[in-house]
Amino acid sequence: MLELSSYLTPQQIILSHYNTKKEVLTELATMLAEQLKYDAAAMVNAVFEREGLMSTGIGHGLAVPHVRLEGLAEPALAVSVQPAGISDYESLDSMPVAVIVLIAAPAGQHEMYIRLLAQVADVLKRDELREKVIAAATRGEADTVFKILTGK
Amino acid sequence: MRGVMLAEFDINHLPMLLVVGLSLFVGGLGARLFQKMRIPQVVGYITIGLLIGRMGLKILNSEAIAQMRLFNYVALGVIGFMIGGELKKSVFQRYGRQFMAILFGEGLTAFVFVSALVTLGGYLFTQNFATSMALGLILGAISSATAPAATVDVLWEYKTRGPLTTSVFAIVALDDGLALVLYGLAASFAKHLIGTDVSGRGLLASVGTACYELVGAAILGGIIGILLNFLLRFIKEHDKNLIFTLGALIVTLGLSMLMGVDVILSAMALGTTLTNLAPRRSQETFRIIERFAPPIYVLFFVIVGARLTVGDMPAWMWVVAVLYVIGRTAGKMLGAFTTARLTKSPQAVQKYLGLCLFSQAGVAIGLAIISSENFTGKYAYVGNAVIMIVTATTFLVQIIGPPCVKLAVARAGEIGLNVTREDLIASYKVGDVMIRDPLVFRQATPFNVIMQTINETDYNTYPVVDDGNHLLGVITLNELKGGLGNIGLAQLLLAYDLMQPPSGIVQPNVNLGEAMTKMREEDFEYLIVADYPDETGKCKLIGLVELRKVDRLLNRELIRRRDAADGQS
Repeated sequence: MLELSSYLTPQQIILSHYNTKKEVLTELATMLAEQLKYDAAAMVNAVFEREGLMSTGIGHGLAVPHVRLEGLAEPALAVSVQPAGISDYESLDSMPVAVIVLIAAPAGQHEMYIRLLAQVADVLKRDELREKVIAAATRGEADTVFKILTGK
Repeated sequence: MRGVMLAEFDINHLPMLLVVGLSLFVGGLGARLFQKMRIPQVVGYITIGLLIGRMGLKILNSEAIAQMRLFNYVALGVIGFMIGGELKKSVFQRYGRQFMAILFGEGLTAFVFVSALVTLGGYLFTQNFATSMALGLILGAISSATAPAATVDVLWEYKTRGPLTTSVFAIVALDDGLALVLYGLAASFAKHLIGTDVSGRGLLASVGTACYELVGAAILGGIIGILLNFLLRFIKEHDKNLIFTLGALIVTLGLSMLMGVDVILSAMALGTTLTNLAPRRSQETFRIIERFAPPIYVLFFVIVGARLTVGDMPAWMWVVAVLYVIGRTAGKMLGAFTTARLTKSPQAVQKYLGLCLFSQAGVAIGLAIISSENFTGKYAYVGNAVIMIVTATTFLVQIIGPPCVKLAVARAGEIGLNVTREDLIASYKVGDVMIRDPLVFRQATPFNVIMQTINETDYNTYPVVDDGNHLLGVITLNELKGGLGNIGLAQLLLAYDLMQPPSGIVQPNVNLGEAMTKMREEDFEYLIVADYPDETGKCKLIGLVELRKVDRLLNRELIRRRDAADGQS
């Protein structure tokens, strides 16, 4: 079992208030790129290229945008919680998306990438845990969100 | 110093190693030239031998040829050994009766035809019936032999397989034995005819000698074969296998000389013993010798050509030589055809076996030399006539024999059927074996569609392409394993998420051997077949090569070709 804490830091959690998918994903990808000292425009483009093929909103208010990038050293996560929900995310159940977890992985680490995707989906599909995350975000407690997600 | 060296330069007395090297090199070039003209390579070697030999430039002159005598025995030994390896018990159990009948048919008919024609022709010129008949009988006996080396070299070169090929191997292997016995009888009778038999040795003694040569060779080869087979059980490495096998072969040759038994036959007996004691294990041994043998063959045939000389033959001998060739050719063809028909041999054998039996060399020349030793003093002209006629006709049949063998196996449809895996691989380009319309995914193909496709098809590799069929990546079964267990991911994953850069890309005009080596060395399960990248760096997908599929295809094709060859019998 992978530990999400290995790939997520408290600084990679954003609690902001946006209305559109474009704004949220741009902010999230830019922030993660800066954290990783990666080309922000490249990361944003990659995220939207994937999103253009099919939405990563998998229902239950959860979205898992994911990209593989050349030149990245380690896989990393970034989380954005939008308590009000993003309604233009085009998720599978057409419901607004409240929790968005961006996964960026190095191009060569295919297996790790798939396992991380599975892990994130597994953890956040639990309604109770997701509700706790949204509640903490509503209170503006990024640290609590970090603790809930990483179990620390 | 330089001046001295130049002064010593004489094309007819070059250092032995230089002569050997030149013979190999030029012989190889000759073969290449003749192959281009679709003439069997062996004719090329012999022609080069003629050019540099006693009738030509004399680089390979009598002295050099004499020095290479030992080498010649090794070459004959290797050839005999390889032919012996083809004589499998199963073949003899199935076709033994046919082979023996055809052997006696072609050998005895040639003997009778040549004896009759030469006796008649000789009598017209010499007016001496006894001498003419002596000459006739001896040449008749010699005519029954077929030189295995040049014949079999054609079969190997064109990788033939089938009933005709099997019959040729058996007949050429055995008819030297028949020739020896016939010669024993004929020489003894001839000596009685012209009254030279002062030794007091009768007909029986001559036959006894011939039988001793045959049986002795068989026993010697058999015993060493048993010992070698025992030894090879413990030898796994190629190079050691080569050392012991070659060692055993050369010991066999040496002992044959010591015992005065037939050298080729004992080498054949060695090969036959080995192939029948351990049919599977010995295949490796024969393959090793086969790989090692080509330079030996080249040199051997170059020497065959170099040795020939027909400079000062009187006119009547030319007439007798022509009669000899006519009688031998007609006898072999008619004898082979009749007996093959009587024994209900396959059509290919009936029609074409005779064409494969023209070649004459080692045994014929050997017997001619023996006859020149048998007939000395005032009867030396018989021996000399035999040597000259056999040499002149050898020259002719060695040039026309191999193309006739080629024609026969081509007509019989047996060319190219004895293929190995390596031959098959060498004959293909990547484009010949690739999957032409591989199943592909688009980037947006969802995970569940991918899984369903994988379940319903038998591929391990699925290219991902864009709308213009440009290669974007590859999804392989192995790499999918990480995502397979997680149903939750189904909604999240597309081909885009699962694809990886292809491990290797190859163009369709690349040799299959090269592609397979790359796959093996780099541990690739597949190669994508694509054209060269365009200006944007993208290449168009053309096909796919999966190692396991190519393996399967090669095995199927091998079995198909072998079945096709064997099915004709």
